[in-house]
Amino acid sequence: MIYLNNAATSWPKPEEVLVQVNRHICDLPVTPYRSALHNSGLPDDVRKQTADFFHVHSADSVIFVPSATFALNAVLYGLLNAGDHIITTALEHNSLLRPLKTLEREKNIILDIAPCSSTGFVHPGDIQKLVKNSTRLIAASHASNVTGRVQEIQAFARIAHNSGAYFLCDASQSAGSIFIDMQNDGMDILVFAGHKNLFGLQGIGVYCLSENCRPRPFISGGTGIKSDLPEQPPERPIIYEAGTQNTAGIVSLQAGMEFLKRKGQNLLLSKNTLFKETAAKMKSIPGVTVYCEQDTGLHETVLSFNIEKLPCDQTGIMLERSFDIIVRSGLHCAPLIHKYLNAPRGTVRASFSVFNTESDAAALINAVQNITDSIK
Amino acid sequence: MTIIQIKKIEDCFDGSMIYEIIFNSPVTRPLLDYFAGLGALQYYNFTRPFYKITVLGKYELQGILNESQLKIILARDNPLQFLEEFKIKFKNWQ
Repeated sequence: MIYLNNAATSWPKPEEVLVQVNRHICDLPVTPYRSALHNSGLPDDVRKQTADFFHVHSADSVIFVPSATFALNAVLYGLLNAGDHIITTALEHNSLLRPLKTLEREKNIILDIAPCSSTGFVHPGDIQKLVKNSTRLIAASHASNVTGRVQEIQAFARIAHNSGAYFLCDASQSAGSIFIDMQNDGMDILVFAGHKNLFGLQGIGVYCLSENCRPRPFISGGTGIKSDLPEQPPERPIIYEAGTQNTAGIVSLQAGMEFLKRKGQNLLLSKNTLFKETAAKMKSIPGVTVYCEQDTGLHETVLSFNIEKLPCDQTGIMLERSFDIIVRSGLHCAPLIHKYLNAPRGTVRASFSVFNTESDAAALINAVQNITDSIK
Repeated sequence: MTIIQIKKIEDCFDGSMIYEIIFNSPVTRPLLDYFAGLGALQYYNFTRPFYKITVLGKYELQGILNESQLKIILARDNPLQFLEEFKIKFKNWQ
């Protein structure tokens, strides 16, 4: 079986992730701030490592939550008020779109959605055109989870800051694969998932806040410290964290980041080369439409395509059941981009990890060639 | 040969009516030929052959030859009636 669904959840995980998580689960349980037995450093050591990895201004501004979706909800519900104007893009995942649409109905926020190109690029000028005096937030993906196209986020940040708004970057698809410097990139809020290119487990997400971005707490509850206070303690990070943390997930994130720091650079270069070569080969197959410009701009290693005359879900089933290649087909939880791709029923998405090989890519190309040959 | 389970499955679109039908033995070539008689067959002769049978206006069957399950995609009008119709057709084959 060849796994090419890494944009959903990466697999396999590096050996050190498996070892560290297994050790953590087998050891005496450590509940952050609540254990008198020993001080494991969890989760604050990982907070510091995360801050270093993404150049966050302070480790205390790294908040661990169950998912990127949770992180986005926490920030949006904590930050936005009635009458606030928000600009987002047609690329976005439902993890961002749905809370925004709900807030539009419940809290009367005003939402504008910037269009994208036929390969998933949002021109900063199209964001600029939507800015109003009441713009409070520009929220955009770093890389499309459908086409992989990386956006000009520094330009988005400049537009936000020039209009007195915050810039939220959803880096769920890029974190761990593309270098992110939260401060230099001008992000006020950085959100990402742990289980994709960072090689953590499902169930760990992170948001990081700039010093001046102070959303209201989304949840409150037990913190293990300052338990005599009637409400959530006011300082970061615990103002934003309540309840027992997913420590196994945090450990997996730590191990994943350590793996990337040690081996990531070369592996990521190889992954990008493999992606570009595969995209070029896929484009050369007659009857296949590829939704990326692998030679233009920076790309995450997500290869969306369709075979003419075949619905994407049928291609997905064929690849999985007839050729043992696991891809994903459909809308990829990003419903708006497909109008711009002219693929209203979705695409087939093959997404690569550093562990995929030339042989995996060759098997995909051969399978697609085989399918296209069989429908002539 | 009997149906041992019918599971509703979802895709990306609201209102889709898709079920997985699991049999107690594989869909062999004679059964596929019988199903093909219900509509139009597309057969892809891969190492593990893929088939799609379209019964126009009613349902579509998709699966792999010699596997014990198939997917039935029902038309939105009267989907459960078409599911029952398929079950009867299958019973008639035996």
